[in-house]
Amino acid sequence: MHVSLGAPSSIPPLALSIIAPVVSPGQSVALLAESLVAQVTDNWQLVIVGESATSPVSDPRISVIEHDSIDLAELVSAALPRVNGEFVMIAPHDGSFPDNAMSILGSYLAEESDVDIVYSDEGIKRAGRRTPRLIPKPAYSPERLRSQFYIGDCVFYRRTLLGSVGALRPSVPGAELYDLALRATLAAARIEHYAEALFIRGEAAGAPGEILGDVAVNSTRLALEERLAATGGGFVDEVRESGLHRTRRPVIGEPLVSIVIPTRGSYGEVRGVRTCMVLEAVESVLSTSTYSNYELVVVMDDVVDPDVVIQLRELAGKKLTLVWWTRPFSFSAKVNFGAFHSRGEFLLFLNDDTEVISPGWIEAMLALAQLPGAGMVGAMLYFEDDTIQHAGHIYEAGDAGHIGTNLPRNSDGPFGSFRIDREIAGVTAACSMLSTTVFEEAGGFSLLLPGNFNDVDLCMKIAELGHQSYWTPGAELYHYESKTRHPRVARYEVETAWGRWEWKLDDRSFWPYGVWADNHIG
Amino acid sequence: MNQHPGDADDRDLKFEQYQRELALVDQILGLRAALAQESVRNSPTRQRVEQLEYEINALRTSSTWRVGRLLLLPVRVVRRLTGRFSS
Repeated sequence: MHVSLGAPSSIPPLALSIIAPVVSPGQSVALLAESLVAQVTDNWQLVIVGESATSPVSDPRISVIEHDSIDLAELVSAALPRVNGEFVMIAPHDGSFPDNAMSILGSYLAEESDVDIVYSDEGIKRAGRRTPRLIPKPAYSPERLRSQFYIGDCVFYRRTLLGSVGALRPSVPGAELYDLALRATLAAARIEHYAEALFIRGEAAGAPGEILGDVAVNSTRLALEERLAATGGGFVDEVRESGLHRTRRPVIGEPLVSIVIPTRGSYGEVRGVRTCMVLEAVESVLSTSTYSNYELVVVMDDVVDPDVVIQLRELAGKKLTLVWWTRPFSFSAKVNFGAFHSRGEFLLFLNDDTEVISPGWIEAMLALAQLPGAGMVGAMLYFEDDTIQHAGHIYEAGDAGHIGTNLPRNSDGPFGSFRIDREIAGVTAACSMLSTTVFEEAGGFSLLLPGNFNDVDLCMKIAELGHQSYWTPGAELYHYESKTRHPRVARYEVETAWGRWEWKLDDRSFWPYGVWADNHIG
Repeated sequence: MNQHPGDADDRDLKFEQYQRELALVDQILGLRAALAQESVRNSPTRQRVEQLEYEINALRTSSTWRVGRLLLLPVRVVRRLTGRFSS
């Protein structure tokens, strides 16, 4: 869920406790304490803890614990017995709250009594600038969390939950808070994101993309390994100082993947060379892929040049299942036809104007498609000129578009979003994978949308059935879009798609960064 | 794979059944979405809710839906076990 400010509540706000550990004598909690004293409600408590802890403000709601340690876990342990709020935040000493933060969060938590963890957007102070930089966050994203501590600082944990998971662990120095988030989110009944900046970090604090020291890198690896082991397994390939870690889920078994390629056998120009698109796509799949258990289900219009068919058979050999499409054009019906002829447990839809770049593309998508409750899995697609075409769908302001369009290939994206597996509302069918069962459960591609928005519609249907879609940068391909077909959007397609889903075309849950680059789907 | 004489008709028939079942599921999900849209846009009238619910139930109880599901279950299993209808 992704929530924002609603109507004022008549229920009294819950009591919230903030623990401010002071790990060195130079750290001042003045800003933090003053921002709490200025709150419009008094449902808060501040516990300052550390060897040199002092309160800059005299207030009965502020208590000081002198504790001779610089260990974060130990300091928090010392403070917890003094905490009396229902929810607890461990705050950096130099942050501050807007004056309505405690009111908003306390009221929200009073109303949503089954929430165990709530985190909000944040701001971060910028040198020489009056306004902080906004750090928007996505809705709870467990797969993203295994690659990035995106939850950040403004996290309130139910006090009883903290007790049950053992609060901070001294065994992971430098990564205590990330480790806590990784463990507590597994034990929580409900986790919510509050889409409003309710905490402002100091300039010195690390934003997403912070630099981790050696100790923190090792601790982070340990915490991530434990998290993966507890959630179906996986690999920590690299813990990066930037805070963007390379982790991946394992492929379970070696299921058959049916790569469904609808094609007219058209020619186009790629890098100045006239090319038969489907042959190029199939050749790249065959020569690049490291995963071997796949079949190529090519759905071909019966107008295709016989030479193309001969070359395709020679190229793909026993991997090929060639089926003929003899009916009027309908992308949806054609792909459904391909799905019908597929034997795979998983379907991978692939446009014929694509070229595989990453050898492990099938594994990267399959590992996510195998997750419990998984919906569609999408890939990173580039135009011929090495700019991004697609890094997921964005549904915003009543419209559907692609994330990242026209940005350079090496772009990190907002807060490193182009570098990590993450939850997403939808993906393009130009390259996407899902289980055959989910495809059929969702009624396949809608015949009411023969040319456009059929992927948006499928993703929406799948989401409504309770499945989560993902996007991975582990699958990179070129998409020579519009080289084989120029999209013409029919009015009835717009009416059908918007008639069904207009109410969901403003969904920032998993992409809270706005239109990162402008391009509409059509 | 080789295509045998007589396969084409069988293949077409089975694909028609498959497509029909997908389309029915699609229509039900589309109607559910329309109902949700109505709820979000404005409080739908009782009459409108009943109309959409009626349409959904009519699809669910149609003989095409029920027969289609029964027919397609063995088709799917056999298709996955033995191969496909292709050239």
